[in-house]
Amino acid sequence: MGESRGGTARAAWADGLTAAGLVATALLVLGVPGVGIVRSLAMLGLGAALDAAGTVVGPLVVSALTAAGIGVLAAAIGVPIGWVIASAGRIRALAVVLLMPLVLPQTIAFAGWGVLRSPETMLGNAIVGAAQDGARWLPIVVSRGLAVLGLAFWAAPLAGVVQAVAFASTPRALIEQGRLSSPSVLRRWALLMRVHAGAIGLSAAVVGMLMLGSAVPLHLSNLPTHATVIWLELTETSLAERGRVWAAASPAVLLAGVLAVAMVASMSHAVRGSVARGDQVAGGLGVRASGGAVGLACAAWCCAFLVPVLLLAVTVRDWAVVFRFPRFHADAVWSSLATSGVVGVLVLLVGVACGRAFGSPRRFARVAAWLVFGALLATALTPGVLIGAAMNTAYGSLGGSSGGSFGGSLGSVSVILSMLARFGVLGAFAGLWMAWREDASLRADGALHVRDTVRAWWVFVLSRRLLLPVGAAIASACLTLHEIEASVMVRPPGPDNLARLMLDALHFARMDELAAVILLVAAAAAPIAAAGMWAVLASSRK
Amino acid sequence: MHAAARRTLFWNANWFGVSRRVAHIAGFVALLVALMSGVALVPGCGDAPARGGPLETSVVIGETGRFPGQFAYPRAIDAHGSSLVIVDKSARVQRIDPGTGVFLGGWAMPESDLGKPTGITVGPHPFDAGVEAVYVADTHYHRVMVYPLPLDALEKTSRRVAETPPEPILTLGGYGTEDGSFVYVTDAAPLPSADPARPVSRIYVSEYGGNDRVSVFERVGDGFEFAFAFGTPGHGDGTPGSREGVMFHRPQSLALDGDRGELLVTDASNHRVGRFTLDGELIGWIGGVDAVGVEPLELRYPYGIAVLRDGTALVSEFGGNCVRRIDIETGTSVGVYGEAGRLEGQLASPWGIAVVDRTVYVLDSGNDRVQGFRSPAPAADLAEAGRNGEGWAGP
Repeated sequence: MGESRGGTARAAWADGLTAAGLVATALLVLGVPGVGIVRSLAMLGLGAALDAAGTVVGPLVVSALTAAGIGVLAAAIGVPIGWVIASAGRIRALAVVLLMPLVLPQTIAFAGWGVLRSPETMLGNAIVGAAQDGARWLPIVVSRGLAVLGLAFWAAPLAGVVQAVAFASTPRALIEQGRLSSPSVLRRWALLMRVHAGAIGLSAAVVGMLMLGSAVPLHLSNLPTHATVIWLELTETSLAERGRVWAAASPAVLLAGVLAVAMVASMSHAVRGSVARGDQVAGGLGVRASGGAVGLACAAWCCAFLVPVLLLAVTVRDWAVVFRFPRFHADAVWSSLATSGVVGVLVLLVGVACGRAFGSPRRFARVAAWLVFGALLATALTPGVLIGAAMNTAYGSLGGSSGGSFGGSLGSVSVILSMLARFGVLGAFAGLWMAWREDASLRADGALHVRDTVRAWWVFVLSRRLLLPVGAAIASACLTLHEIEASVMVRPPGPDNLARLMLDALHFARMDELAAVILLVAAAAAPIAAAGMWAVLASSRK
Repeated sequence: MHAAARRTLFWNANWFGVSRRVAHIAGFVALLVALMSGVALVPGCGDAPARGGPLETSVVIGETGRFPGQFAYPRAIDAHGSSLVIVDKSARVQRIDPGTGVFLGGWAMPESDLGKPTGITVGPHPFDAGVEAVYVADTHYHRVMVYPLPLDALEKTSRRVAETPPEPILTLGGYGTEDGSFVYVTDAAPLPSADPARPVSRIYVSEYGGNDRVSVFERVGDGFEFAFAFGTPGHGDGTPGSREGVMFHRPQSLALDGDRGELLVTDASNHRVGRFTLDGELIGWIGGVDAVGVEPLELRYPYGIAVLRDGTALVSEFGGNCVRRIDIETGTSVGVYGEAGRLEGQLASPWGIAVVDRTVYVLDSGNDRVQGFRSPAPAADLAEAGRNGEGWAGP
């Protein structure tokens, strides 16, 4: 009893410290950039701010249509992927490979397939020839279509994951009934799609939400979405005049905030209900995915990753450029790896802390966890260029432009905070999943004292689910390695990073270097991502 | 379960074949190492690599924006008498007073949806002696547009950039990979002539985009016709004394050295500067990938170049965030100016460089401004070589 009381007291302290840390994290990722933005808006005035916000109605419509289009395409491409992820048997291991493109650059498909329309190719010459004959719209339309399709292929695995959660709950009887009642594969698929129409629509909505941001292919193709227009405005406006730009960007920020609040409210309600009922997460389909589904899923993966990488490799004129790239740009490589490592560790800590806090019997800890989850979700849904620009504004306000080691350190911290704002939600989500998946017996009041000590929580919860936050940390590190949107806005001049090298290579058609960067990132990230995803999937099946 | 028994069970259990005790200890150690490494690396990651130190800036011109006198990522610069002509990413060509930064006149390029110009050169009017013109490398429209200077008509509206440009006096190129056509034009350099009937005898044009080369157009009758080209895409060196085997990977800028009768080409993505005769024969290379990381000469994406009369040239390094002065004859570095950053005296991705009087003007593109510093050349050799036909013997 005495040990239990002491353990409970220590657990309370642990929960308190965890909650404080989570609140501090939320304040950092929201407060630091928020102060700069609020100052800029205050200098602008309400009337001017409203005027500026009203000028972006057109780009907002373009954003909505583009996001919807990408979402629908990704949802359609993601169906076979989701089916494979949810299926039974060893084929499920293929899910690890199918999910890999999600942690690799969004620009792979756009850049790779774009090789086919390069100036020296048949298609490229035909496009430019037609443009010179009067069809000036053709190169623009081709570029934008390529951007939309490339992003749809990149996001298809995400749509598949969302759909897989629903597919996994498909009653086996329904599948067997479908096979018996209709010999036509297409009719069976149509039946299943009708049954899971809600999930497929949800997957399109999730992808669409992400694509409201500042995806690089949309920027490169000059598609006038809201985020692309704001990106251009940010690069052509001095810091002193950015209030007008922030006002114009406010719809995106407000939307991200509203979506985050709505999702937090919805998820907290769902989690509370699930815990109260003692629900168990579905263990997956009771049947194996068919060869057709596997084939389609692999074809989607090839279109998203394999074929574009091969096309880029074919364009390489001198492989010596590729092989000496790590040496030539050693400072950029190390800088990116260091930043990724720090971000990965921070996301791991967020995940563990959230796992502790979400599962705590103390309300204040759970509230802190939901607070940081909402904050990180809001920043994740905000276009990356806005995150980077906001951090850059704060960096300047805090004296980062003073130069020297202080300025340099502050610049690096700004970069790391930006990445945490963009990808920290993965750790928070891993923590939520970790707490949600606690064995039902541990939630019973009778076992409260077991969970309530730090050691017991470590033994019975964390050690069994540690791979979830570890997987989230690895995924965050991979995404940080090549994140462009926030990096180019916040990173001070000086040592390059892989993201800036990639953007320069895309802008200035340095195809050998682009191939080198993408091959380097893919070679570094692929095995790590595969190991991390395998760990997450293995852990979530326990 | 008794606490001691729980402890025993916990530490003795295996986890993927590794004892939990070992796994947890290793995990803690790894976490500590990662955190400490990150903390140690974080300050260093922000530090710019050592270059020449801050510029001793005498003037800073411009700031971010789209009003006259402001710039949106300026990409090319050249001198026009005692003024500067600058083109930026909003496709505006502006003439600026270098002492005050005041806008003197300018216009927007006629088309820019597909992209913006990346090169600008002020040189002799192709047809009228004693007058200057501006040669704009309209990159994404695969052409060189030549406009008259000094923008008399437009200077009357010096409060704004004119929406329509003046009528071009010459247009070269068009899309294609055959002779006389271009993919992505980067720069144009007119070769002055002492003959008043032919103020410009040749126009050199560089391009990239899979057709990386330098094309030469010669004055024939009332116009200019394609004469020859040299260079192919790649990373090879070629043979000195010949055009054979010469390769470029984004030849970004051209500069004519009137004293030596040479053409200098900044081969940006090969990190070198090429010296050629006026007939395109290779003399030699300065820098290169093998020099990268080996001080004192290391050119990281040399974009802009200005030749001085003392036998040196100033090269703006887009990737190095500095200006390097090189001895053309020996190929050695004789000075580095500037370092990466946003403060005055620091540079961010400088695209171009020009010299007016005793001041060198660096296009500090990433900071949307121009910075001027005192020319390192001796007073007698301040002017850029080869301008306006001075000292040219002609081809």
